[in-house]
Amino acid sequence: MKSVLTRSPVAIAIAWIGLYLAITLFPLFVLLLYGAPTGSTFWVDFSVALGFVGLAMLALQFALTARINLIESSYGIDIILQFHRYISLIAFALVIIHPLILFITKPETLGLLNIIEAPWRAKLAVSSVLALIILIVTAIGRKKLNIPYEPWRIAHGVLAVLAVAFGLGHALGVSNYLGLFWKGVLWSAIALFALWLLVYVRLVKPWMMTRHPYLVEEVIPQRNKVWTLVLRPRGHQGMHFQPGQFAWITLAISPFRMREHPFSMSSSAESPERLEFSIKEVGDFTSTIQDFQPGTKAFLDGPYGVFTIDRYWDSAGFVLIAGGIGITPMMSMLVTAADRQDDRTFILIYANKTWEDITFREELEELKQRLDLSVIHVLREPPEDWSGETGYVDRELLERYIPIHRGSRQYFICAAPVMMDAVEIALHELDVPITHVHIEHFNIV
Amino acid sequence: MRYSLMLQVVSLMAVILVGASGLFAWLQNRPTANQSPILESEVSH
Repeated sequence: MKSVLTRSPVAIAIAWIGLYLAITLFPLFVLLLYGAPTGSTFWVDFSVALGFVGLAMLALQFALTARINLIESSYGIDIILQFHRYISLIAFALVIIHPLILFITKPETLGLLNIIEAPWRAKLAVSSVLALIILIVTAIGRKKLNIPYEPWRIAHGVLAVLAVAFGLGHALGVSNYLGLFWKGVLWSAIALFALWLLVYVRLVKPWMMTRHPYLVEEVIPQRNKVWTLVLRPRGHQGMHFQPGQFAWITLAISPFRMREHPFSMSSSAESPERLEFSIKEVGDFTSTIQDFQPGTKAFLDGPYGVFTIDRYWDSAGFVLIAGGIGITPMMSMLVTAADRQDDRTFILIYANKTWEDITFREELEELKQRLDLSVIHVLREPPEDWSGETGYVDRELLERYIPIHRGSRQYFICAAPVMMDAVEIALHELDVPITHVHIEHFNIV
Repeated sequence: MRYSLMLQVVSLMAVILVGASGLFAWLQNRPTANQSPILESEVSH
């Protein structure tokens, strides 16, 4: 049983989904122990139930984003964040439908929208919904609205706390099912749980990070506007990680300021005392990497991620498909495999715009001497004398290079979303088992 | 592709949650065994 739950992705998914449903529905089970209050109708109870479920889902969002290793180690943080995004829309829909049912079945409740005269419990409900609306609009439209990442992240946290706190206040203040002892205990426990997660993320974790500082050793320029940031632990042994994982980096400021950024390690997992992060200039923070001087203090939260060859020790080999800076986790996998004298086969399909854009081009050539490694460069704008692959990584190209026995390998994709989707679909059409395909986003937040 | 799978899973979860909420409301408001005979006796008198 333990083996099934640790190795089968489907079993793990069913277990987690079952637990999620059990937690969100638990408040309703508790209410079933009591009879319905006098004057209740099917629609009133249905509305109340949707409100409770929506609120429990909102409280659980704190657990999904608290980077709890137990949750995160099953699927990886980008999958969990995507689930967080989808499920938040469902929670929002339930929270909105909850009063709509009341407005339709009991039109007199429309008066509760008059926030000047309405009782405080209704004011809390309106405030909670308003916070939720701002939360969702700014989350979905952050890039279109040109909201910088760091202030957005702080506002996102504050709005989330307000939405849940006001919602909880509303739930405890409304007369339906109120005053029921166990219900009060339950919702207080949920509130305390969410509060603890907040304290853990904002205070406990940063404090733990300050106990294990790092210093910038050097910043090495690479091809295609990429900088390799080298960190060395100060007063401890460094971070042990699996090749392909990532960490959240705080540079030159206190970790309590919550201005951290996720990057994959590009160095060997066999050298935790020298951590390298290869970072491309694409945004406000990444453009400043080159300016950090040796000796700058850094803090790490990690390692995170399941995008690693270490989970598949019995695989006959690996097919790595990278686009641009997506090479970073692949580089860590390859140098680690070389350091470990791994004798399995590695195929790297690496897409770039031009020959000069290829980050780690020379390093990959050197790795061929130490590993059973084939590198297939795919160029969109090849030089005139180029005889290699051109264009995009599509089904025909993949079919030429991946092994006939598809299931004998594990496939790792890290690229821009469009390329990742296309490659994933192509691999599926080529009968590669979906459980053998692993993806990692450049930009998870 | 896996995001579309996830979307399907999330949709299924939404159906389960709404269904469970409906079941809860029905259970809370269903006619109980005690109520029916009383109503019948009231009608017969």
